[in-house]
Amino acid sequence: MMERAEYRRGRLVSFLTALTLIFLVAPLVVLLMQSFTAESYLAFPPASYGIRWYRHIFSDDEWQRAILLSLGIAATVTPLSLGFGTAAALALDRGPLRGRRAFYTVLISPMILPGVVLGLGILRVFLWLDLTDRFLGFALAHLTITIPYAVITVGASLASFDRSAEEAARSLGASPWRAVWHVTLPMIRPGLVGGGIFAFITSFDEFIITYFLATYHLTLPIQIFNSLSYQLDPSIAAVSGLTIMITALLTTVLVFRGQVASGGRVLR
Amino acid sequence: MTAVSLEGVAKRFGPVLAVDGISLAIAKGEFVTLLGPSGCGKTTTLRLIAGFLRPSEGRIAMNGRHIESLPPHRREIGLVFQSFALFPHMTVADNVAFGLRMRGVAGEERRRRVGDALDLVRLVGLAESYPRQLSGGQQQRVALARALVIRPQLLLLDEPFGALDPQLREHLQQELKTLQKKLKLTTLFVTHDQAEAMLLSDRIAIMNRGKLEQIGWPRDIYEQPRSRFVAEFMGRSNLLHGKVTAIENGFAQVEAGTLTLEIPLEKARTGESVTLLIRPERVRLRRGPAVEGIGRCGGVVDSVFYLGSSLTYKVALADGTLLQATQSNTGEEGASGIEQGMAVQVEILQQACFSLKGDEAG
Repeated sequence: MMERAEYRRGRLVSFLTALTLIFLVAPLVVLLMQSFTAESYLAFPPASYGIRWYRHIFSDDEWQRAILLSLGIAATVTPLSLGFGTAAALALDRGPLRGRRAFYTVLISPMILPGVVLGLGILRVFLWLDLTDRFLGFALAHLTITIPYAVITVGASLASFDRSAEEAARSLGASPWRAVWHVTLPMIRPGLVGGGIFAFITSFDEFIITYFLATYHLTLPIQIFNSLSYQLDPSIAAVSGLTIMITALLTTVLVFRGQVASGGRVLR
Repeated sequence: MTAVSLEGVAKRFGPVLAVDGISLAIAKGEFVTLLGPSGCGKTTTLRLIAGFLRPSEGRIAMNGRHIESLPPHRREIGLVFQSFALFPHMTVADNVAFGLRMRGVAGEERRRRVGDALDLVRLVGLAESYPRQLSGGQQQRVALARALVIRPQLLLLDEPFGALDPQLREHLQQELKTLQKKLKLTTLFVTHDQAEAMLLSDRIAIMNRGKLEQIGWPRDIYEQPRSRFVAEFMGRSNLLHGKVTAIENGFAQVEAGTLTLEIPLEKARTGESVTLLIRPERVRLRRGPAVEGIGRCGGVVDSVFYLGSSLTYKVALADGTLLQATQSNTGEEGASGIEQGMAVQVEILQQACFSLKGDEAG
């Protein structure tokens, strides 16, 4: 009897999971299929397939500039977030207990604050500092929301890190810095990889805050949004397809790495 | 020659006094064990010596030089942890080479010393393996080689065999002892396992609640425990409360319930209360009718525990006291024939008893 009820419950759970998955993934599948259309208009399903529109966005000046700007910002922001995030996570892990929680809350608050509020605040300050509509401004704004990801993932790795390996290194003659560099950082590598990927994706996809700052220099998400209002051709589908693929690729790396890490093995 | 000395070392964590005024001197080449239950402060003491903690009070010296303010990486101390604490991203050889790398030893000398260290722990063939590919025993041998390669002034081991199964543990204990003697290593070993402590140590320091209860040769600690805590921690024991009834030629006659014992007791006074410690393996049981007398009385076997190499009996005396007796399983008649419910003769030899002073008896 019990087994039967459990079996039925299992079927229900599977069904609901499948439904949720379809609900979440279907729009992406539709978009991806449309992006590979060989026609000059958007339709589903496309009458014929090809990579015409991908070729188009890579040769089109506007799209090219947006793609390069977004990739450039993400590539700049990622190592910086890891650097600052790891330093902050180490400080939180080893520093004095007093004020630790307050420090942590402040550090990750940009992740929790509504983007509009954060964007408006950053705009006010950046106008004053003349940082709007510039690469430097975009990168700094993105750092406020990417650093928390690094703090969280690296912090999680540190929480489960066995300090005795670091202590062994200290007793063997390593100064505090060398012990962290040669032993701690390599051992928390899964957290570093995860934090880096999160930071990259977050920056690459960022829309709201950047929208406050951008006027002429447009990142990819803003360019997509803007072009929706005056043109609806398959180039948008191709750009979106590109974004989806980059994100999916990085997420796959993340999931795969995560599994390896949780299997107790350490990556080389 | 004193290699390491602690003078009145104390460590306070907020309101908690984890280590309470410990003084201890370890001679060069000596193997000393800090023995005690978990939470007694033995690991804290080790961490104070290693330099991961700073003493709240007292001084720590190595070879006559004060080291309290020296950071861990300048102390020339080898450390071995219960969790092995190997570097998982490095090969066995790189693990062992780490301390040499930090010291700027390179090239041929580094290769040779790493090879020698691996040879010492018989792991030469595994130099290029990663720690995760090794068994627990092999991993702990790597950790030992890694600590030894820097030729430490002092080797600290924190329950190094606690995570290993009993047979392997015994094997590694013997290896460690052999190595320690061969290299004349000054060693401080931390454990809560009294058998391990007795097997390995030149001297044992028993800790309880942050304090050193007693320090001495394993034999003295077992046979002449200074407190009830030490007595009970070092092995099973019977504790009997009694009164001195007479003193004759340095021997005191003590009456403890139905038992009358004669024991060597200096400075005893007639009428004084004493606590007697009797090790179960020194209580002899015999089948047959009881003969009352000094050190003898009758009893009834309450329960029998068969342990393979030995048998432990609980014998109820006439006044209700349960006395533990252990007999080795020689297979001879007499020892093996004793069963539950049987009336037996209990015999306690003179040298089986030790007295604990009243205030220390707890």
